[in-house]
Amino acid sequence: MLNIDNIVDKTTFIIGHDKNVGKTTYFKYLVNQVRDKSAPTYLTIGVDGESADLIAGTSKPQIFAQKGDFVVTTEAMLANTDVSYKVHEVYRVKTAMGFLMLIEVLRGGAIELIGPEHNVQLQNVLKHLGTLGLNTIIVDGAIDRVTQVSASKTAGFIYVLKIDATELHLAIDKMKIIHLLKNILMISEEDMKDDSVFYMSGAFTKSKLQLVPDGTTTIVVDDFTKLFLQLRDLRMVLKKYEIRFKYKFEFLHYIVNLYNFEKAEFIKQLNNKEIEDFVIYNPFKTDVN
Amino acid sequence: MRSQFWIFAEMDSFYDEFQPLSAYSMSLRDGFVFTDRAELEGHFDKTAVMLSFIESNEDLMKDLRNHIGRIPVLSTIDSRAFEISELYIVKKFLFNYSKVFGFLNDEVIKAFDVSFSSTELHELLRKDKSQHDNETFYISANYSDELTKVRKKIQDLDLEIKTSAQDRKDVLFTKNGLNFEHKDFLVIGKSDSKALDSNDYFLEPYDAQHFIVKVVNTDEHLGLLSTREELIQQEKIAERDVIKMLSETISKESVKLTQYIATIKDLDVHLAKAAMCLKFNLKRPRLNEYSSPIAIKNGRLVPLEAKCKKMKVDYTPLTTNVSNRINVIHGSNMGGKTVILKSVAFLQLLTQMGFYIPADDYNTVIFDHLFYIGDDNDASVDGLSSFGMEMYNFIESTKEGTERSLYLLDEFARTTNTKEAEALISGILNSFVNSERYAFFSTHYMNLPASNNVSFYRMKGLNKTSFEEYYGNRMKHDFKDRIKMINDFMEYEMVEDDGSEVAQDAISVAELLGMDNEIISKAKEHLKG
Repeated sequence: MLNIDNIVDKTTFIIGHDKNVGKTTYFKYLVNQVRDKSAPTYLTIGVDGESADLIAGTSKPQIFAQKGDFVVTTEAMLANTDVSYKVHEVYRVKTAMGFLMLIEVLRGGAIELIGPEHNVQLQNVLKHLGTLGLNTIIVDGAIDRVTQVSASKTAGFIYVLKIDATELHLAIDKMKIIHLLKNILMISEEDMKDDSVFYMSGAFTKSKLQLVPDGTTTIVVDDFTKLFLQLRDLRMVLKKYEIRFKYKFEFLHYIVNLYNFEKAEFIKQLNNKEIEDFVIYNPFKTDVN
Repeated sequence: MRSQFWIFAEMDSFYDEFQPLSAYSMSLRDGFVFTDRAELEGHFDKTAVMLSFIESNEDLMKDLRNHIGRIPVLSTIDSRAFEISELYIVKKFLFNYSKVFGFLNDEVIKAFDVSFSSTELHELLRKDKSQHDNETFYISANYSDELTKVRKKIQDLDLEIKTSAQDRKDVLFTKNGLNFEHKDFLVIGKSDSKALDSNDYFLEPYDAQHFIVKVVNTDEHLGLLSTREELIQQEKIAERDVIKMLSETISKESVKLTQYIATIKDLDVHLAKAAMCLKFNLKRPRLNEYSSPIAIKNGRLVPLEAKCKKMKVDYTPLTTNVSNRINVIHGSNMGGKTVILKSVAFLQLLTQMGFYIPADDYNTVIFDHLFYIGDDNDASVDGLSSFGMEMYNFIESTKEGTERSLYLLDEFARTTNTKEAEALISGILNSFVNSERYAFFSTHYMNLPASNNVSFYRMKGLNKTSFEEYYGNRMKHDFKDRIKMINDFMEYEMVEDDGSEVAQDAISVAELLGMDNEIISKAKEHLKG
């Protein structure tokens, strides 16, 4: 089970590489849970998230906001809702549905979310939330936006996957990559100055390995979102070099939604106890008395 | 896109220091160039007032800057139906504007014609009077009795709905053990689904082995929800009436709001300019009648000064008085001719953009156009060589310009043969003398026609005696040291040129920069003939 204290006073990103894996469903679940501990502030990235929520089957990322929540969205998205709200800021970030704004929910209701499209916008919004003392922030990631985590230097993330028979091995590889990256350490300013340290700016792809000078023992990249290596290539790199990050993000959990797949079989296929300790299976699954 | 004159003046880095604070700052950083002397003097007067205000009210500056920085762009000031976010912006604008107004003294209020008479409107938007709510907005129930009543009904009903929902969940938990806390639905095994009553749950397939389960509301609960929906519609109508009333009140003050916007832009610009005066020790330029001479005392080309500081080499400010409109500057390579032109460009462009300038004194006039003709790497016209490009730019400037223009011609026609280049420059000199134009030419060409209306200057150049004394004993230097040495022995000073001395520092400079000894020796022999 997720220890909810781990997301209080932090920025938590719900991320995943693929569409329709249940990110938004888990996002809503997490928001509901954290209210017991702290008033949440939540937002989504962009507007082009899942067209349909995998599990709940809703057509858009809707959430039932409650009194005391802080939410980033636009006025147009609130036009047909029954929430009553107070505007705290109108950001100079224009979306297809108008300018983003920060609202405080005065009376609950179902609302739709739209959020910043780019990392810089996201960074500015998060910075502003910090100035207001809004520290428990949950961000619903969207397709191919793993790099969104780069926008915040003090953030944790939850990685959501859908496991079915068709893409099982691909999904397991992704979990193994995350696991390898999770254990990578940050580098100090002092160590950065060492001649054997090579800083690779931007994305770390296989083709960029040729840029690494002879004599390098440590490759530094900004953070895990800049690594675009397949599992096999990452393992090869780690045999030859040490990798360090300039910025570190706390990894919290994998959320694994099993779909037509037995848990026991998945554990067998995963075959990695260390990773398994970080997995929360089907958080919505329950048994009947 | 910035002009070639702007680029030549190396204005970018210095202009980056100009930082208005309000949300209007983008529009205030457009590099507007004044061409009206009276208007510009008025602008400088305001900077002077703001400078004096800053100097005597340092303790207020942090708060004043904070409130200016929080002023949002008022995009809508006249509408029959403002959006809620727009009402928020009007309130935030008025709050911060009123705070700014409160900080200003009589002198600033008079100079900038500042006023604030929208207290009633501000109060109307401030139904919540706590400090926390100065920069928030919502449609308060206090705006109308109708809204108060309907919201009370919704609030009471919500309690009933919450109790009803919880009761339902409790019943189902007791019956089937399904806990929906924090969850809109559950996923259960296919076999478990058989135990569930379809009057209690909706079941949808999740995968081959599981179902999604959602609670079926009771008729009583659905009735409460239906009543709530009706009340929500009543609330929306009441809110629309409030928004209409607020919109009409704001629109009636649109003229005032327009004035406030203009005022805040004005204050913001001059606050930023005054801050630069203090940071860079800038002085007010003196604007004289057109045709007056240009005089500079210790004028600094700030970007170059910064580069020199970084390289730990001395920087020599420019001091000169030019009596004629047309001026020709000769001098050795690396002797500072181009820097003279850049310094003039920098000071003049800053002046005409309404900035105080980095000089102890700067006497100048106001031009309708500022032209730089010289190396133009960024521009291109199909099929033109660098010579063609230079001619094209010059021709275009004379077409476009009025008579009252400043020309900076940096080694004009340097890419063609000496004889024809001199002839071209002579032609331009002759044309310019018979016009109202001001011009500074930097050139190596010596055989230009003398005229009472043209002043000739030369850069003092390398101090050969000191240089040879020093350099004779030290042959091994890296490139940075060599540059420093040129700087140490080059006298960056403009002196009147009576034609008795010809600048011949090119070979010495090439030698200093590390040219092969054999080539240097042959060159010196060639020079001796």
